[in-house]
Amino acid sequence: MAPTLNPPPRQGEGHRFRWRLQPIALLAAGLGLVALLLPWLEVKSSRIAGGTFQGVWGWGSVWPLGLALLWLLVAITKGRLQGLLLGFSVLAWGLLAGQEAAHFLQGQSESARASLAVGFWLSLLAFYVGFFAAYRQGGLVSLVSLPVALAVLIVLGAFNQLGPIMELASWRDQFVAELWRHLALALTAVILSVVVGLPLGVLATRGAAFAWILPVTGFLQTIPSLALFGLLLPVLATLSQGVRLEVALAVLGVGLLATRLLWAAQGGLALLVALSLGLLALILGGVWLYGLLGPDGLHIALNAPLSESGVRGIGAAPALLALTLYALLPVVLNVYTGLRGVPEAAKDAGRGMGMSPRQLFWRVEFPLALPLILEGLRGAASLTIGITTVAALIGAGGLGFFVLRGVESGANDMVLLGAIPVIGLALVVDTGLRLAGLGLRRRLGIV
Amino acid sequence: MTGRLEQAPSEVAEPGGQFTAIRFENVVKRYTDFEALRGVNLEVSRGQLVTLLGPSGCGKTTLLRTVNRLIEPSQGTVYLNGQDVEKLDQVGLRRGIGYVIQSIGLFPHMTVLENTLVVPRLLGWDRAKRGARAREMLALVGLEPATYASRYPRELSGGQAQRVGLARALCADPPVLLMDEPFGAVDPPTRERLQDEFLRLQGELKKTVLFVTHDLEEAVKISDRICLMNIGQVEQYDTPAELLGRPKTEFVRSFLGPSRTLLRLSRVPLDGLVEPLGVRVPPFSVAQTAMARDAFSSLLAHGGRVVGVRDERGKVVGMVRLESLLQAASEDE
Ligand SMILES: Nc1ncnc2c1ncn2[C@@H]1O[C@H](COP(=O)(O)OP(=O)(O)O)[C@@H](O)[C@H]1O
Ligand SMILES: [Mg+2]
Repeated sequence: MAPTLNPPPRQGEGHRFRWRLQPIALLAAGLGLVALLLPWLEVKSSRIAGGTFQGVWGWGSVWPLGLALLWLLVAITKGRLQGLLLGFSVLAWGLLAGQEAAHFLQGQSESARASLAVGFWLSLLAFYVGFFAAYRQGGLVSLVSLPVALAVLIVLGAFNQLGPIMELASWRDQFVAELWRHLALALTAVILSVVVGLPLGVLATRGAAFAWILPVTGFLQTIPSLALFGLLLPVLATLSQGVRLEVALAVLGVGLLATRLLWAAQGGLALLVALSLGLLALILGGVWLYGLLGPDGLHIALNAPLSESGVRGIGAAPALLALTLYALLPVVLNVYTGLRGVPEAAKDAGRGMGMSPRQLFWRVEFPLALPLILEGLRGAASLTIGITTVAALIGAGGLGFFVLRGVESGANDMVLLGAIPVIGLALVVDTGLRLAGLGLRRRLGIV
Repeated sequence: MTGRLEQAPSEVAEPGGQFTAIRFENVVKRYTDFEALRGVNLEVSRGQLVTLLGPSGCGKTTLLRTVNRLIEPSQGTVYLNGQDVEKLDQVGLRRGIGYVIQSIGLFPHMTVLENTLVVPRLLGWDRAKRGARAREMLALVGLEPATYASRYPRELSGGQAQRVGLARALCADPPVLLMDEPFGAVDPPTRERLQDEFLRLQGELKKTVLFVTHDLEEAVKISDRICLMNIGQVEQYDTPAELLGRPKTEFVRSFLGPSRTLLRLSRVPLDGLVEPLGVRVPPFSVAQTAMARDAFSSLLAHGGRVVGVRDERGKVVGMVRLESLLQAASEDE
């Protein structure tokens, strides 16, 4: 999702890269300039009405000229200076959009809206490319101007008259709750997928008996979410009505024992039992963890059907199960690949020096696989933040709520109110974990 | 754990009064479609350096790895200090044996120091003791601890990495070392230096060493005894001089090749060949501690029939004749 954060080249190599990197900056500037020729806003009489597209020129603002100049400068600079100029461009972009919205909404009714149009979005793409170019030359420092500029714009209220922000103003409380739900759902699913995926990935490296793990997790990802919900709904509904919590816990306990006993005699059967138990544990654990993390509270009701403990055919339970299964592939695949990539010589040396299998795993294999495992976590996290949007389909809430409602009512600004934070969150988490991975590699001495 | 190996009760005295450290008894290793070892019998005396020599694929590595049970024989028994290794705790057995492999196998996520003290850590030595010991070992293999201790393996040259591998194997002071082509991956000058230093170390430490190599010169240079193998069997087990002087089979003869006579000279010390100086001091000389092969090379390079021998201060104190060298080379043939 984010640009590849290759470490910036060392000092001495800079001149070698100049001619190669210039095209990226040129592309950014070109996009930014083209954007200035396109309409930035669609001015509508109400949030669901059609409107007229408006460009940035010809209504008395000097900002378009200033922004055009900044883009030209971005094209011919590089590194930190380029980053700084891009920061100013962001500032100009926000102020220009705000000013234009204020200009065209002036004198219109309360219900009039200024929705975002292609020029506005194209500028975003230009910034993305531009900051990428700046980062390649100047490193992380070149990116600092971005959050600063955005913060300034927010403090100045530059976006306040733009469509999605006006939606936000009227949905504020619900937005906070859904954002919280979204994060809690995604975090729970990622935690579960790591808890389940780590052992599965390790098992996948342990011989032919576990060769099914990779294809199965891969297959899970190909099931459309709607189909998965359709499958889960009757199963979970039956479970939630017909099974009491203490029965479920007893089944888990007895089943665990039975699996251990079965393992020696009937490996295949034991595996099947273990998987079904694992699924049950996953559902209960997921719902409770989400209860702890989310805004809706934790419910555990002994002596009552599972539905009283939060397991239902719709809502968080099926959403979490689906999200966890989707997130499994990147985790399992990276654990597997990471462990497979541990040099044979290191394992041989460890074994030969008298490490027990457990010591070999924790002291050699796991640390060496960790950077890739973290990559898997990164993939799982950004993927999950994105697809948690579908949780709203089955009544679990989250930012998908706005997307769904917006689509239903034809209010594009409301769709964006859900979509923009999702994209932003995914980018932030992705970048954060990428940097964490970089730091980890350095600390482990593997570059 | 090392203690257990040392206080083994049933040591077997050899006629020469030495003790057998490692004994292979009819060791066979069969894979589904291939027999890698076809009944190997071999005894390694305590404190000796024995090389397993032979062409690639003849089973050297396989045989070596039966000692620390990285490979379990299909048949036969391996004894370490008289004890059947199969009856020993696998992990404890391995901690008591130093192990060096060709690809070195340093742990890339650990510093040189951490790599070196892996076994003491497994053995539960306290922090101060193992740190001090590891530094001592690094110094012993010629790596200044202050410079190298905190480096990562990727910051080392091939030769340095190999030294760390050796320091790591020696760190817990195991009586037995298994080394699988330890100098195979370094350039020839470095390899020679490593060999020299390893010989010096071995002179002090007197470990029992089983050393795999496919390099004839290396084997001749460092071994007390050479075990020459071919397709899973021992062809000849002898001192380098015996092996070079009296190859027992056609395979041995062809493996040693035409340079075996010259190689033989590389194990003959000059001492026995030196004669008092005549009236004329030869114009060129070799060190007293050199081998007959060096004197021979010197004669080849400079021409002439006599080469001087100088003491450690550089004074020429004797001489060696070409005839004596030729005779030494052809002795017992
Ligand atoms: N796991 C295995 N399965 C089948 N054959 C093997 C296996 N491991 C080694 N071999 C064979 O055993 C022979 C001896 O191998 P090795 O001891 O590694 O030879 P080397 O003398 O070069 O060290 C080789 O021919 C090799 O192909
Ligand atoms: Mg080998």
